[in-house]
Amino acid sequence: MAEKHLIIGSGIAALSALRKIRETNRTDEICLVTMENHPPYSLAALPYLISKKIDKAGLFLAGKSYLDKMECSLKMGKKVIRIVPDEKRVVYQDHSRDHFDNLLIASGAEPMIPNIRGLKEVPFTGFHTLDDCERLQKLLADKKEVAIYGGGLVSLEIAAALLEAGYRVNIIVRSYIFRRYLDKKTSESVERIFCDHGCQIYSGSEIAEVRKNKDKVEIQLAKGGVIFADLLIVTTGVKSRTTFLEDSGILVNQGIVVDRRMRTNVSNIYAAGDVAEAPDFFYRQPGVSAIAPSAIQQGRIAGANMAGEAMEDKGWVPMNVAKFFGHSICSIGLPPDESSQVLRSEKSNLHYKELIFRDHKLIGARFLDIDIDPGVFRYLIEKEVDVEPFKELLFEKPKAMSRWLMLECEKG
Amino acid sequence: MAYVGMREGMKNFKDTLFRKYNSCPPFCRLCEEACARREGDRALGAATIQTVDIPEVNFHSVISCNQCSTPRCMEICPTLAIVKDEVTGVVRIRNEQCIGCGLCTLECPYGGVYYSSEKQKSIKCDSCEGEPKCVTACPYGVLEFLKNSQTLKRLHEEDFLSPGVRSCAGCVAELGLRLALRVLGPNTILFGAPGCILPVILGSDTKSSTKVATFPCLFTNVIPTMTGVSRYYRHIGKSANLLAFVGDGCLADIGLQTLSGAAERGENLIVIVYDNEGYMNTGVQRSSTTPYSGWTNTSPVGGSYQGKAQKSKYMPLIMLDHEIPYVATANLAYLDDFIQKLNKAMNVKDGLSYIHLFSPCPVGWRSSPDSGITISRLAVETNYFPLWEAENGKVILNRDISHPKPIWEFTRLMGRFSHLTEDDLNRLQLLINQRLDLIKSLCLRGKGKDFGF
Repeated sequence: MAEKHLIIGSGIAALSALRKIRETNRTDEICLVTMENHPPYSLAALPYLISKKIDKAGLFLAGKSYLDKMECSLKMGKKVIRIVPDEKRVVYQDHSRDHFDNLLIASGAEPMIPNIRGLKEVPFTGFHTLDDCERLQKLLADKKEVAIYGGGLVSLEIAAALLEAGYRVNIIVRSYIFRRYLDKKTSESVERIFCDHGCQIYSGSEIAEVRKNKDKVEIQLAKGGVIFADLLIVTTGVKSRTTFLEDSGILVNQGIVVDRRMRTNVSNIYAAGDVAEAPDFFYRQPGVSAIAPSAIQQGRIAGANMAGEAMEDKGWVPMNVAKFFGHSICSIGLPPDESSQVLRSEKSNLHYKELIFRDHKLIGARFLDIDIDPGVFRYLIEKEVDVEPFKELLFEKPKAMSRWLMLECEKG
Repeated sequence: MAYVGMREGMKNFKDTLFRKYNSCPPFCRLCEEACARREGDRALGAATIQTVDIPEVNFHSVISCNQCSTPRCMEICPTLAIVKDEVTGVVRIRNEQCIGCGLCTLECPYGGVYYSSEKQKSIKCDSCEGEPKCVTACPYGVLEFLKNSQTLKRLHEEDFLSPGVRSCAGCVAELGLRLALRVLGPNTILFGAPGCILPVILGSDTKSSTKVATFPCLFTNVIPTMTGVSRYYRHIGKSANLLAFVGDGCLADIGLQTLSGAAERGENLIVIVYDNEGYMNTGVQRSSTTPYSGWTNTSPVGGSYQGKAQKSKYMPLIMLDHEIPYVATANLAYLDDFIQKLNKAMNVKDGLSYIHLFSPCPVGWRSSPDSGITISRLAVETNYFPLWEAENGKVILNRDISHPKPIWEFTRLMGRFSHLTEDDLNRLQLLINQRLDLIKSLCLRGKGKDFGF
């Protein structure tokens, strides 16, 4: 019997699930529901709208023809406010309802806006959705100097885009930039690259208070010091978008708690992407992995299970790549700790590599401006390839050796 | 279901850039340079085929995009800049839409997509619109562009075997016949002999599973009957593909003399011997092509018997020595190769063409019905059944296996070899190596000039 798969969200996790369901099933009904008034797009492309590397038309991933081909309906501007698992029903903000047999929650994340005194009085924006992006573009119109609060990937991508467009940029970061992916020393090298392009970075600083001062935003730092800017962008991280799940009986911790098949504690309800708290690869510890590769992978697993194919995720691995001013950062896997063996290059400056091993396996790799294939290193980590006799050589010639190790495994 | 699966699978016949593994001269950069020059840019950074040289582990090879059927790079691209051409199968980056975020390089596990820091965009192999410059530049035969899609174009849409054929589950010979008829087409007269093909697949009484003219014969008169039909057709001015699809018992054993005679007379026939290495239809007895140490009911295991004591007769070389226009070995795990060989056989007009088809038999070989193709592939990868062909006596090895697998990887899949000891395996390996050496020496002979022929 044909079933109805309802997918809340239209990001890449949702689209990945859609593709997977359709791969095995052409008769079931599939419906995407998004609270936004835009067709599906990828969040990863938004900073490039600011730098004008793409226009808005180039942003959308799935137009009508694609959705028709996938025999999928799309409801835009529909915000889910409640899920009633017993009745297999969702309720929208306009009080209309929808039935489902299988439900995938891929509602993503929302910006975490810290509680700063005076924030409401000044021109500021978060940066997560296309609407945020368009608001920022509007706010930027006649401005020259921008302050960005936060030092993660999104913050720096926006910073690079604005610097290239000729804005003056101040970054205020509570610890140091790229903390998630780099150690402090390498982070400082990256900081220097940004400073060379005219960026001001205030590391280890917290904003105590903001206030309006004539046309400017006056930013008071907690450790002392004042920064003036025309506009404040707050990108201090995201949190899973789960507020509509209260009273639904679906278990929510940091995100929606799911098992390795992306199932929530309620049968027939699944979660994937930034909203899901799934077991990680190394320790099987639940956590939210708000990155595109995890979203794709989790969407695929959820889709397979919704279509009736038991498929298990091997767990998410933290990773990212970043490109700015012709430089590149790549970080995959775990940071070093007491139990790991580390090989790292000492001549810090602009080229840096670090490999982290545990027992016979590679568990982490970090590169700054080293020419390697990130996906191949990801392969070595995720396939737990035995690299024991080749650790030094892998460090010495990372590109060639990683390829060879991968090819030897694939030769099977 | 088998024929549905096969037809679907055939849609995936795409042209492929074949890269021989670990076979490059050390630090040769010819393909990379040719690739980089393709855009008038001599910088090696722009090459989308890349060499991997590690003298420490004696590894010298090339790496490039595999043109995956479901490309992960395409799935993750945030701007739909990566597309897969449904006809050619080539995965392409639309340059103007690439924002250079690098997510594709993080997603591809095979090192097939690269980030160009000059362009600040991702780049990958697009097969140069079907004429890869790297292939032309490689003088060492490491790179080859396999034009599989053209093979597919030569197949007939119609399936000339009805669904519901009565062959055993997992019969590979049936797939072979189905494919052969789709290549040869409706203008074919099919001749069968007792064995699996005649009573089981072609049908009995007045019923037949085939949609082409079919002539059931006996072991010793298949070839004479075909000769008669061929003469009659010549007499009335018609031509057709006369195809014998018979087992090893028929033409390697009982009817060998008739085949030898027709080959010598130069009859224009196509003969496919599907070799299941025994008399399987009559209850699994040994034939002259049963391999050394293989179990059958008449080469039993127990007491002083350890399967067949003799080595197998190698029919293809016997036919080669008849100096007929075309001899080949074929295997259903290498469909493209088999189709090409059928086409060559069909184009022969001045004599007999002979194809020896490897046909795993789940019943007689005591193997799982779903393992036929796996066994076929391993037969080639272990050199148990080398794929070669000879056009007018010139022998070519179609698949030169650079790292052959040990023979136990092949034998362990079949109950007929389950009694094999280490010594038996070593002896079998030795026989295989000897046969391969002989074929390779014939390949060299075929080069003519080098050896003064």
